[in-house]
Amino acid sequence: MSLNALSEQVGLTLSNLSILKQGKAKAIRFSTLEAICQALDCQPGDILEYRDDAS
Amino acid sequence: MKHLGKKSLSSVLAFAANLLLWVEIGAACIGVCMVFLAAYFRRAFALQIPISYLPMTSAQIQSAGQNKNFGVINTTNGILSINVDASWQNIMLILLGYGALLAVVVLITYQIKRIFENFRQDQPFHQSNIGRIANIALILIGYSLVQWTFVIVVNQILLSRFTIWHNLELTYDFNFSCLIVGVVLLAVQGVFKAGLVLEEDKQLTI
Repeated sequence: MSLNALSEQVGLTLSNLSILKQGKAKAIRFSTLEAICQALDCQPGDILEYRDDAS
Repeated sequence: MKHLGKKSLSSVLAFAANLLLWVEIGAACIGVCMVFLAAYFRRAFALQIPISYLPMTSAQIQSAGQNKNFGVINTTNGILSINVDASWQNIMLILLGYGALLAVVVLITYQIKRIFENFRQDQPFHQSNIGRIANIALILIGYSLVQWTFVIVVNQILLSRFTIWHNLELTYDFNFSCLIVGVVLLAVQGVFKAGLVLEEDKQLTI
């Protein structure tokens, strides 16, 4: 799925999607997470990953 | 955002600050012209210096008022009018003194104008606003200290050179209001810093 199509389905601007993609976002709303999971038909765990900054 | 008629309050205040800035610049130009005109036509100045002193009896006021060659003291509001020759040295000192005072006022007005311009653009928590609030705070704190130094210097000159005014018990009042406003503005600057962090967090919350 292209970024344009995802932004239309989720209702986010391309710049906000770009911030998410680059990992510059400081937080994500549950409503945004829900919309992305609905659009991609996945679970939050599929798109979120924990990384230990120390390692 | 609050509105005043069709315009926002910030835009009205920004306009008022801008107008005030030009009025101050105009007043400065007129002031410089008047200094030179007074020097040319009157060959002397009546320099108005605010001084503070302990309450005096009517006899003491009369005694102080007899020395009119030097100056006249207005006992109601503590303004001392000193007769000064219109020499180039005095002209430069007057322009420098009043110029510095006006520069402080113009600088503060300019900072206020720019702050309200940022408010008008819906950017209250902006890095430049924090710097400008800090500038105003430091100017006010500096002004209160410089003014007190000025009071000490003027009092020392009056006490050392003009002994005939021995009845005048000069006081060394400190301008606490400017200092307090400056310190409060430093606290406001801290609030704006915290606001900027929250604003950035809000912008990066998707």
